[in-house]
This record gives sequence, structure tokens and C-alpha cells, in this order.
Amino acid sequence: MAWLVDYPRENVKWHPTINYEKCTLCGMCMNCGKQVFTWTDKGPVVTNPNSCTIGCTTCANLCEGEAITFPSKKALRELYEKEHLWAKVTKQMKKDGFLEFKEL
Amino acid sequence: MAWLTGYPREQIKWHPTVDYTKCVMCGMCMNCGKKVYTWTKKGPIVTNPDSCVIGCTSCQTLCKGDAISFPDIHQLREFYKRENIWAKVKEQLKQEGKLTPVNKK
Repeated sequence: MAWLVDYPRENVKWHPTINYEKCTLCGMCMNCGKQVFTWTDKGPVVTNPNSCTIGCTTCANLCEGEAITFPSKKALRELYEKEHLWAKVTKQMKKDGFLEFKEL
Repeated sequence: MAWLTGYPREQIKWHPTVDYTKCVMCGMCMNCGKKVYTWTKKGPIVTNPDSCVIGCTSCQTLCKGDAISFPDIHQLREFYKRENIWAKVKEQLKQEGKLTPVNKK
């Protein structure tokens, strides 16, 4: 995965946490393209935390009850810095042909 | 699209804006799954703004140079409220069977 290259996904703490006192059962989080949530009698449950796209907070941004939180973006960026992930991503993207100049 | 139901995407201003004085050409934004960007000599250009997923800010979060900005999320949420989008989305998700409870694993 190019957001992380070969860094193990399970070593990165990045997934939503639900505050059930705030959840209004709007269902917005069930639009997640990675199927991180499972809908239950209780509401959404985070059943696939490591499928969550690193850096994505779309479900939290659009949660009606503002019931979803994520770890700190700053801490995530510090991990990228510490583990040289940006440099690795750039290299991988070049290899994959994503950084070839196009004329517009 | 269930994030918006029947509301026309082009009427919503939601897409990244790149500050080229800050862009370090890290290429992170080219991971966008919606192909919002095209890579050029100048750096990434937002060529498909309306393909951007409403409410998504992943490229901004991981942009090395902090060069990407988005419209105000509060305004987007006010729009959802005003246009009853949340209620419409819920209705559609129900129809699609996505809000049928599954026993917790």
C-alpha cells in the first residue's frame, strides 16, 4: 500500500473510535469504502480497524453526532518523519509510475 | 453516491487546493483513490475536483509540506443540516440494506 509502503499496517494506530453516547445512528459511517464498521443492534462497531485508510477521517468529518474520533494527526505525521515514510512513499510512487510528468 | 444521495455533487465546493510555495513534491497526494490530481512538472494539479469524496481530507493530513487545504468542515456540516442530507443518506442506506443489524462478532 503506497500510503505506507512496506511499513506494517498493524504497527500504526489509525482507526476510528465511537462514543456511543453521542452516536445518533445516522449511518453515515457505513459509507466507508473499506468496510471498517459493522452495523449492529447497538449501532456501528469498528470490526476492521486495520482496514482504515491511514490519515482518512471522512467518517468523523461527516458523523452527524460528532461521535467519531481518531488518533492525533500530529502523532501520525511524526511517525512518518521518524520512519522516513515520506521518502519511501515518494520512491515507491516513482517506481509505480505515479510521478511521471503529464502535460496539461 | 450515498455520501450525498440525490444532491448534485457539482453544487458542493469540496476539493483540495494546493499551495505551490509549500509543496515539496512528496507525491503523497497521488495516492488519492479518486484520481483528483494529475502530476505535472509544476507539481500536482487538481484536475478532477468533483471526484473528491465529500468530507475526505486524507491527502491534506499526509501532505509532507502541509501544502493542501480544504473548505471549512463546519460549513459542510451546516449544509448537511440545512439540506437534510443526513436524513436522506440514512433513508438510502436503509434501502440498500446497509443498516440491517448484524450480530456482533
